Amino acid sequence: MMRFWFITLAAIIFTGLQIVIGAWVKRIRPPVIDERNGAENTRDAWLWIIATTLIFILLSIMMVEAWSRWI
Amino acid sequence: MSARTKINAYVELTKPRIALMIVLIAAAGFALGSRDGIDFSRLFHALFGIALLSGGIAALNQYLERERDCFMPRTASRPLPSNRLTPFAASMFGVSLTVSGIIYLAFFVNPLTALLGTATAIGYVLIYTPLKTRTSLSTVIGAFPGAVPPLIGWAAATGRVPLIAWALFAIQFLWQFPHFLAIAWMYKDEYEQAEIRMLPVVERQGVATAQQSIIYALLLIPVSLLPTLLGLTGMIYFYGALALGLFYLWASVRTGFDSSRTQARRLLLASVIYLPLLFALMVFDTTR
Repeated sequence: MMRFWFITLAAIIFTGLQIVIGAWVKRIRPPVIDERNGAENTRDAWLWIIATTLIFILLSIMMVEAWSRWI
Repeated sequence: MSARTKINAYVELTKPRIALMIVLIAAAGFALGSRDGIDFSRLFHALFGIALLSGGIAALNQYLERERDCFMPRTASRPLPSNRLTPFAASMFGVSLTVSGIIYLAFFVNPLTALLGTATAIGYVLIYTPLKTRTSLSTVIGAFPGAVPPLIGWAAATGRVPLIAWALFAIQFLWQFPHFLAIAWMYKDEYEQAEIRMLPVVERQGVATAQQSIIYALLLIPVSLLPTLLGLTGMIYFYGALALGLFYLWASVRTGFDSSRTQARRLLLASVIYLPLLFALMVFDTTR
């Protein structure tokens, strides 16, 4: 049960980290003058964040298992 | 057309450079999985079967993408768009290589390796390739079959896929994101022409592309340390993987600062340096 809450918390922090990195990139990156497919931008960006978080959860299960074997 | 030209076209259809990289990483997986010394006869059979399978999958991929390949200068000279082979011949060649690779692995290596090979072929040809025109998430789907080489190498050596083999799979899985997103950024206009929905095509500003490159390179650092945590490699690998991971992360972070094609090319170069060095280090510092 503790592992479940640990991974859930880690996944929430990880999603936040993705959003922070996205905001940081948006701030520092010189804008690309190209507004094609503008309507799809947000949708695909969010789909990627969700997919990456799901992958992170799978990896966390592996990492927690590896960590418990190591200590 | 001369027989030599035709043979060259068939060889080209198998994407031999990619096949070589797949075979080398599978060999590293085999070596890492071989606890009691390497069985060279089995290694040969495994690599031969994997090479057949890899060539077959590449041929089938090009068969399915033959029309889209015409729209991209990077792919327009491939055997099918340049009319050096007929689609029928290419599809038959691809099916023959794929099926014979799977059967070869089942008979001369073990059923698990053949099963992983089958799943890779289905995942790459029947799921990933058709999704490329439908969603930018096809890159995520394609990363699963793309990460199989070290896993299949380990399975060939041992007939099992323990947690450590999945760790090797995870390393290769994560590595692909900055690598393929860099390629997608470099060729985004060509992909758009061919109606392939890579992330930089649907998100033209490149913010999500840079964001995802950075996050996957960041995630790769702790995952690349797993071989030491799981007792497969020693501390030389641990520090080497850490240094390589930071190098790959830095190359990815720079794509955040700079949206140029040159920067994307640098990230691509960093990715092709990272992976072979990491696996070489793993084989060099194995504790078994």
